[in-house]
This record gives sequence, structure tokens and C-alpha cells, in this order.
Amino acid sequence: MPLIVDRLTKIYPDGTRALHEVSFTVEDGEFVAIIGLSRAGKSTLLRCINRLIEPTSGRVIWNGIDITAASPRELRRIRRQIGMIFQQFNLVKRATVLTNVLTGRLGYVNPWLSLLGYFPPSEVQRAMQALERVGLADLADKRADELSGGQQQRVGIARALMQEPRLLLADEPVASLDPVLAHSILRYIEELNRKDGVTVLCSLHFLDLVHRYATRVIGLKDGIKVFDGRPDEIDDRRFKEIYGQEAERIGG
Amino acid sequence: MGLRTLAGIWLGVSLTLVGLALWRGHPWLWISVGLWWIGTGYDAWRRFKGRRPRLWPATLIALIAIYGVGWEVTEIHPLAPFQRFDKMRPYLIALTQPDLLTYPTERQVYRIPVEVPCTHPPSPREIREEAQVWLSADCAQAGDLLTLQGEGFPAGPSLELWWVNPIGERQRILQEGRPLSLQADASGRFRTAFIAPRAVPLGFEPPPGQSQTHFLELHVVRVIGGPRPSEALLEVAEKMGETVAIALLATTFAVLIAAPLSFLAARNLMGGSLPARAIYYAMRGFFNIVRSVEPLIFGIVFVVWVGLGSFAGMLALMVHSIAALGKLFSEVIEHIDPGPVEALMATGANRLQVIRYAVVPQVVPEFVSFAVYRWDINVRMSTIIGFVGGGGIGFRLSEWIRLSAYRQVATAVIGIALVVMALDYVSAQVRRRIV
Ligand SMILES: Nc1ncnc2c1ncn2[C@@H]1O[C@H](COP(=O)(O)OP(=O)(O)OP(=O)(O)O)[C@@H](O)[C@H]1O
Ligand SMILES: [Mg+2]
Repeated sequence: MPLIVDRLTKIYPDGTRALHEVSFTVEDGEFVAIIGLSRAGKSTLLRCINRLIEPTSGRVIWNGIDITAASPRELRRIRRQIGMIFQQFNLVKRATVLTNVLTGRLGYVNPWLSLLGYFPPSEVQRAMQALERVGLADLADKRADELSGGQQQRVGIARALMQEPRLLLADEPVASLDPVLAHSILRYIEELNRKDGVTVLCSLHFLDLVHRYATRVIGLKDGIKVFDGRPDEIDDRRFKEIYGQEAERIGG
Repeated sequence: MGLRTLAGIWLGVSLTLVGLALWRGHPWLWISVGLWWIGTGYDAWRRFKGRRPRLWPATLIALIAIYGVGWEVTEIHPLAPFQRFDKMRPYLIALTQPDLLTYPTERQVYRIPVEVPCTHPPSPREIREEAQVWLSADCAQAGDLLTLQGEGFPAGPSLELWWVNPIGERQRILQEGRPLSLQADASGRFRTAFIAPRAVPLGFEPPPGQSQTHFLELHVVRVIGGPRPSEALLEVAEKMGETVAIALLATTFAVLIAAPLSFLAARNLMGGSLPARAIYYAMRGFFNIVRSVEPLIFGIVFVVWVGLGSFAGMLALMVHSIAALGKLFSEVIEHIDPGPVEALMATGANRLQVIRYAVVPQVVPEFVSFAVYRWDINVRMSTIIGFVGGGGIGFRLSEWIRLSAYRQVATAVIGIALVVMALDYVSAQVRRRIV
């Protein structure tokens, strides 16, 4: 079932128009890169989809359910199937790696037991498998802030894996990492996309990464969708439309 | 400064000066009101003429008037600390000789009867026991100079003189205001002069022409065994323990109550719905109001409410601490990294789960640090709260001060200082380790 974004608009309380009537449809299994300059509205778009930010108007429909109209309870049920990873990783720094991964499961487990810090053994096992998948099983008991940036982002991916997501939102997941690490992280995301069939929406800064991983690109400029197509369709004219006239093309 | 601000200041200062003049009634204050108006008028005239404003003469006049009244009201008396230094001296001296140790002693007593007053010409009186003592007169009245001498006494022990009246009231013989204490010389002799004290009990005066029998007691005081903590020291130790415990319980209860409440007073958690906002402002207001009331005032209230003693003091500290900690805690929560909160909301966790897994781990170390700091403050505060009857060392200390028991006061003051310093250090260490 597709993800339909319909005339999505976000105007912040201070009057900033971050998104303006953005519409597109994403089919299952696509790897969509969201590109655009800083402040173009990429983060706002991704957060409006799972309503971490309330859109001002417009609709987001996923699996036939209108997310924008969901009650708080329904919204939690929807969110638990949508993984999200962040540029700053957003781990709980003082908690262990294992606990951080387990928190990805909070939408599924018994809420009262989870408040006491209890997770059933089956969930702990699931968390260890997720950590194995990102190659961090031996660091399960370390504190999250003892890990390197690349390792922290892999914990972030493992946390998202715990949700058994159908959709993954990634907000500049590699912008704080060096190019080698960037590829390693994106390969994990690619594997999720190819092997598990998870639909991916991922904002990216570098076009070479877009070409390498994405099956489709959506370009934003000042909150308006200015491009929607395959990565190889981005020629010089299109590039300047997205990034402005002065921009120089590097890589890709 | 805008014209509106200037007008506001002018009005405010004018009202203040007129108010002060009405209150104190000094003519010079009315003069200052006039000068203030002239000064500000002059400034207004300059502004009107387009010259640079000149407000300082008027400002100076207003300040002189305000500080003048302040000085008068505060009854500043700069020389008092020097002129009345003799009131302070005993405390300073006592600080160098606090009441810390006593030595267990054994007393051997020689009792010499003295008729008061004399109904016959006085003659010397002699007592022979193990040693011999002579008192220069066998009768006397208050103010008479008497001489006591002895022979055959051991040289080491100190000798004390006491006067006992017919109903058994005992007083130490003084010399120049201090207790008289002497020692026999190497040959076992001593000799001392002293003044017979006023000792006839009220209501037991002998009929005119008759006398009553008093006793002069000579105590041979032998130290048997090593030093022991004095009664004052034991009491200070016990009361300091009580003080620390009051502070500990008050802080612990306050933390247990303030920690959950603080989440309701954190702006970042209480955004969104209207009821949440309302609770946020209510909690904030509660913390700010209660926090502004000194624990000492709560102390007085609780002493009336639950009665004298440690419980009242504990409650007073607890109530103030709840508000103080609640405010600090909520500020800690407001300054957390919002990233993990966002991440956990995105996983479909509910509000409590987000707080438990994204907020609590971030705030616990700072909560602990503030709690330890509060305990430290509360120990200091609870030494005071005893002054209004809230238990702990303060109660004893206030009594000793009233009784001019200088050496005991010194013991208490030193005890408080040591404990507070020690806790200061401990709390600093704990906080350094945690954050
Ligand atoms: N909470 C907010 N309040 C007001 N304005 C905001 C807020 N968050 C973002 N904006 C504004 O909305 C616009 C879009 O911001 P957004 O963060 O979505 O851009 P972005 O494409 O993710 O940029 P970046 O590459 O810097 O992350 C910007 O002009 C930004 O200043
Ligand atoms: Mg962004």
C-alpha cells in the first residue's frame, strides 16, 4: 500500500512557511531520497509524515489510513511501524546500547512492565539479533556515549529494526559521518530496503550518495517540490533548479 | 530613555520622597522633595532647549534623601561593635576554651561551721582531720574578709571553696568574679583570703540577735582517670546528629515529592493541550510562592501546628525544599537534549514510556546532585530552625546563649561549624563525581 502525501503544508507559529502544498505518492519498496538546500524543508517533511510535527494542512495517507486524522492512540500504533533515524542519532547517552535498542520496541510491549524496566526475554533476544545484524552484538552492555559516531548510528538502525518497520524515515542519517562510514550506514539501510522490502524516505546532502542508493529523488526548494524523478534525470538544469543558480555541481 | 519611562521614574521618585517625608516628618526631607522637582525641572528645561540632559543633581538629591532615611531607620551605630566589645569578649575567650572534656574526680570535704551573723566577738576555728585547717573567724556576715589556711595537704590536687547555707544551697566562692581555686605548696600548706558571700536564704532570715549556721566547705579535688567528653560535648554531638537527621529526612521526603511534581512544571513536557498548560502554570506558581517563604517562617507555623520538636523542623524544611527542588528539577528537565524524546515518540512509545526512557536517564544525575546540595543547605538551616523550637542543636544553643553559658555556646558553635564543613565537602565530592 502506498504512502500518499497530499498538499502537505507547514507554517510554523513564527510564520515560517517550511512546506507548501507538497504532494507525491511513494510505492512500497521505493528508496526515495529527499534533497534540497539547508532550510528547504526536508526535516519538516519527514517529521510531518509521522506527525512529530503537526502539519498545518494537507493529508498523509499510508496503508489506506489517514495519519493526519489519527487519534493519539491510533497514531502510536502507526508510529510503531515507522522507523526513524536521525542525523544526531538521538540515542539516550547514559543508557546501555541494549536498552537503547529495546526502546525501539516500546510501542509493542506491555507498557506497565516496560515502565518498571522489564522487557520479556524474547524481546531481549530480538534486540541482540538486531545488534548482530548491525555488527555490534559485543557492545551491548556499553554505554551509548562510549561508542563512535558510526557505531551510534548503527545502534539507531538497530532500534528502528526492533519496530519491524514497513517504512523508514531517515533525516540526514550520514551528515555527521565521514564518507566511508556514510557508505557503510547507507548499505545497512539499502539492505533493509532490498531484503526486507522496507520503503525508505531519506534526506541526503551528497548527490553521489543519491545516485548510488536511491531509486527516486524528490527535490525541495523553499518548501516547494521542485523535482520528482529518477536520480539519473538530474541534469545541470534540474540541479540548478533545486540548489540555486550559483551552485556548483560536485561528484555524482 | 523614552519620555514615558522618564515620566514614570519622575512620578515614582516623587511619590517615594513625599512618602518618606510624611513618614519621618523631617523638614529636610520636604526640602529634598523641592530640590528634586527643581532638579528635574532644570533637566526638562535643558531638554526643551535642545541641550544635553543633566539629571545627576536631581538623582543625587533623591539618593541622599533615600539613603539618609535608610541610615536612620537601620539605626546605624558604627562605633557600637567597638564600644560594646566587652559583651563579645567572653564568647571570643570561650572559643579558645570550649567545654569539651571533663576529668572524673573524687572529692574529700572539710566542713567548717560559720555562724551568720556574729552574735559574739569572732574567734578562729580549727578543724583537724587528715589535715588541719584554720578559719580566721567562727562567725561572719556577707562581705566580711575571712582567711583560710591549711597544713598537711597533698600538693597535687586543686582545692575549691564552697559556701553552704542552712537549707543546703551551695555556691562556689569567687575571687574577682572567677571561681577560686588553689593548691597546697610543696610543704603541704596553703593560705587564702576571701569574702563571705551573700547566702542567707530568703524567708529564712534568723530573728534579730540570733544567728544561723552556715558551712564553709573545702574540697580537695583529686583527678582519678583520664579525660572524658563533657556533658556539653555529648549533648552537642547528640543534637548535631539530630540536626543532620532532620535535614536528611526533610530532603529525602522533599525529593520524593518534588521529583514527580517537577515533571508537571516542565514547559517542554507540558506543551500542547490547554489542561496541561494550566497544570504547568499552577505548579510553577506553587513552587515560586512556597519557595519565597523562608523555612524559619514555616518553622514557626509548624511548631504551632504539630507542637515543639524535631518533627516541626523537619516539616518546615521539607515544605520549603519541595518548592526549591521542584523549581530546580523542572529547569533540569527543560534543558534536556530533546533528541531522544523525539526518537522515542517516533517509535510509538506513550508519554510515560518516553519520560521513563528518554527523560529520566538524562535528569537523574543532576537530580541527585541538587538533592545532595539541598541536604547540605538543610543541615545549615536546621541548626537555625531550633531557635524557633524546631528541634536539633538550635534549641540548646539558644538556651545556652540566654544563660550566658559561654563555653557551652563555644562548643555548639564549633560543632556546627565542623559538621557543616564536613557535609559541604562530602556534598561537593558527591556532586563532582556525578556530573
Ligand atoms: N520549530 C521551528 N520553528 C520555526 N521555524 C522552523 C522550525 N523548524 C524549522 N523551521 C524553519 O523551517 C524551514 C525548514 O526547516 P527544516 O529544518 O525543515 O529544513 P531542512 O531542509 O531540514 O534544513 P537542514 O538541511 O538545515 O536540516 C527553515 O526556514 C527553518 O528555519
Ligand atoms: Mg534538517
